[in-house]
Amino acid sequence: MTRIVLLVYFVLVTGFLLLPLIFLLPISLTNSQFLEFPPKSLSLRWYREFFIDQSWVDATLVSLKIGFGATAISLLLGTLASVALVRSNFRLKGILTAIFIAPLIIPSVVIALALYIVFLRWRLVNNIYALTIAHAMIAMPYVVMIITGSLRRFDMTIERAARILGATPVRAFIHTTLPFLTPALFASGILAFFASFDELIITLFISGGLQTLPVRIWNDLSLKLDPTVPAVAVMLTLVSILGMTVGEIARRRNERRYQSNPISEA
Amino acid sequence: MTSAGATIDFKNVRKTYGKFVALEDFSMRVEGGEFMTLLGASGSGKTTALNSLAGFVDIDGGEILIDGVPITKLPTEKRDIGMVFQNYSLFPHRSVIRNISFPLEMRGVARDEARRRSFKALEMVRLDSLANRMPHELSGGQKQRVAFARAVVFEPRVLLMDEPLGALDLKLRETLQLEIKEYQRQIGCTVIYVTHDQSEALTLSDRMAVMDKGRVLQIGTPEQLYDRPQSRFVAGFVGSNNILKVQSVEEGFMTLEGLGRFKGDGRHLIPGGFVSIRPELITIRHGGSGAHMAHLSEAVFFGNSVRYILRAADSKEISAIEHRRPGQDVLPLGTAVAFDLDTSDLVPLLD
Repeated sequence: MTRIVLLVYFVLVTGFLLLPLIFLLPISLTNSQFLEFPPKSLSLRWYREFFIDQSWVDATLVSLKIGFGATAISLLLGTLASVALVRSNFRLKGILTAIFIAPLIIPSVVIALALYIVFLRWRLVNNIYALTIAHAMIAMPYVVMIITGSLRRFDMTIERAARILGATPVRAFIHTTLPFLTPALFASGILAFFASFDELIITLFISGGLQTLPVRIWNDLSLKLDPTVPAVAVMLTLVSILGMTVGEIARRRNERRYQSNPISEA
Repeated sequence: MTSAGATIDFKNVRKTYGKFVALEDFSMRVEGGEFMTLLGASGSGKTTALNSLAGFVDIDGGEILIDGVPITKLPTEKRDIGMVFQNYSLFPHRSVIRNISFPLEMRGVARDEARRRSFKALEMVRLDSLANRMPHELSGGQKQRVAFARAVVFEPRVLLMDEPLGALDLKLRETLQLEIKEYQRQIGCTVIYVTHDQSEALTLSDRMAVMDKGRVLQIGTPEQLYDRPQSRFVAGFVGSNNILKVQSVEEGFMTLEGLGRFKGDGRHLIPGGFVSIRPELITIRHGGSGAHMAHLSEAVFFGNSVRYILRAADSKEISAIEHRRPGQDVLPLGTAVAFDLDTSDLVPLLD
């Protein structure tokens, strides 16, 4: 009895999580002009449409540029901030931690409005670099949370060993802590990238004429809705599944190296 | 792979963590090529002393000198010290050979040269067949040998070892003790070894220092510390010992509290003071009668010897170790035995 109840519960919850995605795939494969489910005939027409339409390609390129830029900035600053937050002791450390996590908790609309006001004054609206920095800001909490968590589990004596064996503090960090952090950097990099890549609200406020992929989809929704949008959505999903898989492989490999596994004495 | 060991001087070193005093007026000189062990319980300051020499902690006062040169202002990487840690601290993402070549890499030694020297170090610890393994594929003993090779490959004049055998089982620990001692003799570097295991300290050291509450209580050769402990703490910490109280000293006689009067000279003893005597110096006469009688309250069989706990008439307990010949039975508990000791074996303790 309990097993049946649990099974029903499982199907309901996972169904709720997956159903919208499951609908998207057949819809994207339709041959018709309109969104239809189930599709009457299958084709890759709308996938082709995406690559032919310059505005889609441009929007994707803009999103990629901003995404990679924001990821790089948030990884660099986030990692440095994490080292300070984990390894040193200073007053206001708690407050500083909260500030780094804040963009995750404060409603996007609030951040969007605040940025809009500031950017307007500094004439930064419609500026791809300013937009990249704004995205780096909302990506940073993911980096700080994951990297601080990982750093706390790092055995500092490994870095000490590197120091006493002749490495300067920076080289010791690069040769010991950084390899340990690689999977965490990968995971937080993926999260940071997608935080930027699918960001809509803040971008709508401050992008001006710049069209990122989510903005392009948004604009499409309000004008005409054709099956290119589900096709884009399916491709995005595949890309993120790929990224997560690579990240997980890296994490498992690292875990094996750092666990002190019992090997029988020779 | 040889290096002339450097002398190390700790001069009035002081280190506190908040209210906790880790090192207080810590002074010690270690001669070049000497194997010095810091022995103490956790919190005694032995690891802090090692870490301040390595540069992992900044000391609050005093000075540390290597070959007469003050080093406390030097960053860790410039001190040219080798170190082996309890948890091995191998670099998990580097192969065995690349772990060992790390210190050479950091010193800008050319690749081929670094590889050749690393192989030599690996041959010394007899693991040359495992050069390309990753650390997680090694056993604990192998890891510690690699860590040792890595610590000496750049021929440091000082080698620090922080409880390097703490995580290994007894049998392996004994094997590695012999190996460490052999390698150190080959290399000739000065070693400071930290442990809480007194038998390890007795086995390995040229000299050893017993530490408690951030201070050195007594320093000397293993024989000196074993034979002539100066305080109750040292007497109790190094080897097993009987600590007794002198009640009175008369001409030709002396009285030990709870044990009775013993014939012999007691002029080196102070009434009211404490003395120690090793269990192996207490003699037992089976079944006989004598001036001092006791009942066996416990017997521990060691194979080549038996340790008895004797309860004297006054319920004062004293332990005695008796060497055993094959076929000799351990006496049953409760047996009445006569015991005696030579008063010249009693070591006076200062506190």
